[in-house]
Amino acid sequence: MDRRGFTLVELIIGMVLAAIVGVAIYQALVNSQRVYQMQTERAAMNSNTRTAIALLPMELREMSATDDVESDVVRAEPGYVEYKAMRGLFFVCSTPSATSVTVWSADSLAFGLRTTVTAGQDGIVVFSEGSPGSRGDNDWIHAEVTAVATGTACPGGQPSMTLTISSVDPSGGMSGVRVGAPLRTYEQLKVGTYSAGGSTWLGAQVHDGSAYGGIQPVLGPLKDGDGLVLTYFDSTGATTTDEADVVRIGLRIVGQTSRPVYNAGDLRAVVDTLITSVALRNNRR
Amino acid sequence: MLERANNERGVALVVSIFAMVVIGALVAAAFFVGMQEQRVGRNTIRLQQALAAAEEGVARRIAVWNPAVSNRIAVGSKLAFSDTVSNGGGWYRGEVLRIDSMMFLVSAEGFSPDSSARQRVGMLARLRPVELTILASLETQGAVDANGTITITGENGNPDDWGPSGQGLCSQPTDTLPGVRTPEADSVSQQGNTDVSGLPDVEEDASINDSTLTWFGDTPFDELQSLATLYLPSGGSYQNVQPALSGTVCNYADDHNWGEPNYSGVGPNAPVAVCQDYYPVVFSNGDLTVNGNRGQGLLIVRGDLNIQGGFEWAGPILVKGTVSFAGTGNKVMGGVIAANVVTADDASSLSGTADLFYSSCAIERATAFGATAWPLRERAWVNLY
Repeated sequence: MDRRGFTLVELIIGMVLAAIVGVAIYQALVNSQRVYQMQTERAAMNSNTRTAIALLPMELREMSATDDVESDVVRAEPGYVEYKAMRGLFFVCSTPSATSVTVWSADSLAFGLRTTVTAGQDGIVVFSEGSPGSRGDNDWIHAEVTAVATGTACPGGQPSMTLTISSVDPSGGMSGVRVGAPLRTYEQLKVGTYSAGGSTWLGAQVHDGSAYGGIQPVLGPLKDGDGLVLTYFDSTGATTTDEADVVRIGLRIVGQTSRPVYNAGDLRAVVDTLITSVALRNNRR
Repeated sequence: MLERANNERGVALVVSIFAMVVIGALVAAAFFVGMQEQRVGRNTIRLQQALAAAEEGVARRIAVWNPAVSNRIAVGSKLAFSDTVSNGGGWYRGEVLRIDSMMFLVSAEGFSPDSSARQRVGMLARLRPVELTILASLETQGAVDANGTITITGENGNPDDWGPSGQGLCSQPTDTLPGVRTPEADSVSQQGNTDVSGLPDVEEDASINDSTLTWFGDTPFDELQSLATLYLPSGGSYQNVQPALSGTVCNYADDHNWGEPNYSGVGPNAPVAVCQDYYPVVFSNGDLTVNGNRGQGLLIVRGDLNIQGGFEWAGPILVKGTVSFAGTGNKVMGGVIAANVVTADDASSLSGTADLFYSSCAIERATAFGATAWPLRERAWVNLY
């Protein structure tokens, strides 16, 4: 029986070789994991910034800042924006009164993101024709919704939604509203950044009629300090702080990975920036 | 000499395979993440393509608004449309929904070229008829020389076969307007077999000035061009204006097709039924000469209008300069405004045989059916999701 083993030299050489191979494998594993982590984090960050750059313009472009009564841009700040977010489109089905208006609520005649109306929270703007032959006197009447009742009050017993309204502006404006006039519902939102868990996030708050409610997280994380930068431009292309002069909003979103990742040898959070510009499609022409 | 061990199997192969599996898994995961990222990016592009397609659908539908088709949609009814976007940019389908007599919702659902992404937008559009107030069969700021077999009457009437006993397009009017309305009654010269009638025959209104007859609501004369559905260059001369077919449908592309006012007739006057709902807004960007045959709608001339004979027209005629009727067989059912603001000293002349009849029904139909739709001035765009 052969009982001879390895010599010391053989053993040392073997261990050294094994160590070299082991270190190489470990390095490869670590590098692969870092690349994987970085890609995952970057993908999540890109997804965040892309979502923001798709979501915000969709909301903002539907505003009118030039409304005679009040701009849809309620407050224009670099770090956040308060605005009237359009939610539904309906059409008036019977002659309105000073305190109520009835619209078709059938699916075929109700449009938009949300075809329900929340009393106390939602507002409306309704088209006032003025003289049929003139565009110059066309207007939108503003009001707040205090109660909602569904029924079949539209012609032919069609499904209807009757909105009890208050704070009509301009006062008496409902007298110029005709059957068939478009009526748009909105909710007031505040969209901006907030801090939580040591990171900066994009969040939204809905105005319930008296104050803004709790923050609803939208996406993130964003870069601390300047993760969201809004710039407001007037018709001359100059920046403005007057909500009624806004014709375009510049958006700069700086996304950030949720944890530090190795990038070019450094362990740090990676940021990336997307920039876009949104023209307010519903300004007066 | 050392003997080799019987069992020389080590762990290198196992370790190598393990490492390769682990590294392979990480590489595959990284590749998967990369693929996902690429897909998300591609989806974003497709979403934008779909949005652009929807936007084009709405914009194009309003830009090429055909009053003869779209203005006939009944209230509450829809008209479907679809098309592709140029350069392979996707496609769209949509509908024009008539809300009331004036208001429409044009909506379009846009798709990316591979139909994997969809977006829907809408536009509130409203008919924009010319705000016309015609107060006589012929209104002018300048002189009128009528010499021939000329009839100008302010008695409100209907074009042949349009009334209750015919097609029922018009009610039977009973009112009578002035035959001619002018700042100076003495400037209307009636010779030959000229018959000017109305209440009064000639109304003198010294307040008529350059703007009286060249502003229509809040629209000045030159801006009427934006309402045109048929644009004619300055100095155009058109013979044998009459309805035309393209196959079995009315040929809206033919610039000699100005609609069909006839509901009876034979030979060349036989009605072309498919053009009876076509009321073009014909805009001539300067002087215009017409020689036969017929049409309907709104005729706007940014210079002088010269009618040489055999021309019958149902609807209003708005002329920035003067009108001249010559030859035989000329007839206007509607109303004529000759503003005389191009060359103030020029006079409008009527010779040969010409009938100018006031018709409120012809005016109303021409303005209502010929009106094009425009997006509301404000809050027209709707995201329909």
